[in-house]
Amino acid sequence: MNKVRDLSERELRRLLERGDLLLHIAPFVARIRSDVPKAAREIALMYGDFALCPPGGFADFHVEVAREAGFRRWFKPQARFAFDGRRSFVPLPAEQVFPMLEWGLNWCVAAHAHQYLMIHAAVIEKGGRAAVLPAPPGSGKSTLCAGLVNRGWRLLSDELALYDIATGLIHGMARPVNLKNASIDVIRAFAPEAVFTAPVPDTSKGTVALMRPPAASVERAQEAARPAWIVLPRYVAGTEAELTAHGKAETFLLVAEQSFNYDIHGQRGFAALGELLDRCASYRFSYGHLDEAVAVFDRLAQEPDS
Amino acid sequence: MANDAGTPGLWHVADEARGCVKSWDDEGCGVFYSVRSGDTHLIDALAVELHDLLIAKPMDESALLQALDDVIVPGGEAAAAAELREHLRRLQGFGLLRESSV
Repeated sequence: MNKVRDLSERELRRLLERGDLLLHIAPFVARIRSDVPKAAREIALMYGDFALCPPGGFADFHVEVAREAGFRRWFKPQARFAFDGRRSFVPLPAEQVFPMLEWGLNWCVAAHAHQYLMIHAAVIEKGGRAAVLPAPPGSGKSTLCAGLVNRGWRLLSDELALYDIATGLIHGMARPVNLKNASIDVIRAFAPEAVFTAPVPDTSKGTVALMRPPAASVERAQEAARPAWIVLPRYVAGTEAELTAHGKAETFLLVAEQSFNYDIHGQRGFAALGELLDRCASYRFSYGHLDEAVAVFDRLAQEPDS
Repeated sequence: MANDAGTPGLWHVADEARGCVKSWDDEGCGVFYSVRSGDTHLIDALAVELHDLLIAKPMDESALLQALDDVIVPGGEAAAAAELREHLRRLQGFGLLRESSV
């Protein structure tokens, strides 16, 4: 299977313009169409290690980020996200085309992939065991995830944990990590070798930059992981890292709150989340420095199964 | 406790609540999924205990008090009975328990 990096920029742009770019974001395939040159450049930068599927093949999601027509095309150009040919959400400045594509893909998964119990959580793995980090925005989840995947943990996702109810395994897509505001410079300093998109200011989430996922994580993107820990993270400036056991019943409610489709699954979702909690040790974790956070997680990975 | 018909009521786990309570051995509280509302509730240790007792067999309030006597302070039986009654009614309101005539 070809990789995105095997394409020249011209080939990539042509595939995008024709809507023939089928990106394998395991366990899904997304068909992407775009006439925005910046989209092609950033897809090449962020998704270089991802596999391409044949243009005539099946795709789970058909998405488009296209320039808005009309006078604005020349004056403060805008782009709009479309799903299955239907324009969705408000148009955004064309400068935000790549974050828009990422948010749009997240929405596609969260709104449609109900074969999974989906949790708003980062997922990382080491030694065959996965840590699920559910948290609301602003808690430092993506920063922690970016730090850990630059220190030997495998990235499954910084945003969407896909819990397979039948197998008890978690899938991720190993897609780019979405960093905001001060987190961008924190990770630049922590992992100077990491590759980022240019920061995009003035989005609805502030300044946003995406971090390219580690190639080793992308290589294993189809490999689901066994959940072993649920860690509720919180960044608290200037504090020492602290990992404390957290009651499973309370963790259950917090994870349910962070699930996109717990309600849709009804009693089946309740049973599935209960089984996930059975499989995992649960903790609260506060941290103020990434180095300390990595040390705590590495110690956790060395402990035997509970 | 007598029910509205004047006979001692028998408490059961509601049919719709079977399979909807989850708790863990090493902690007191648990969670209950209400099929009726779709809401998930945190339930305390007594609710978990009542569920576990009543899933095994229906009981009236005096039998429940006896089953729980290791947690009742001597001399506090009347207060415990009142508290138990209140708890049972609350769990009935959630749809976790139901009361029937004997």
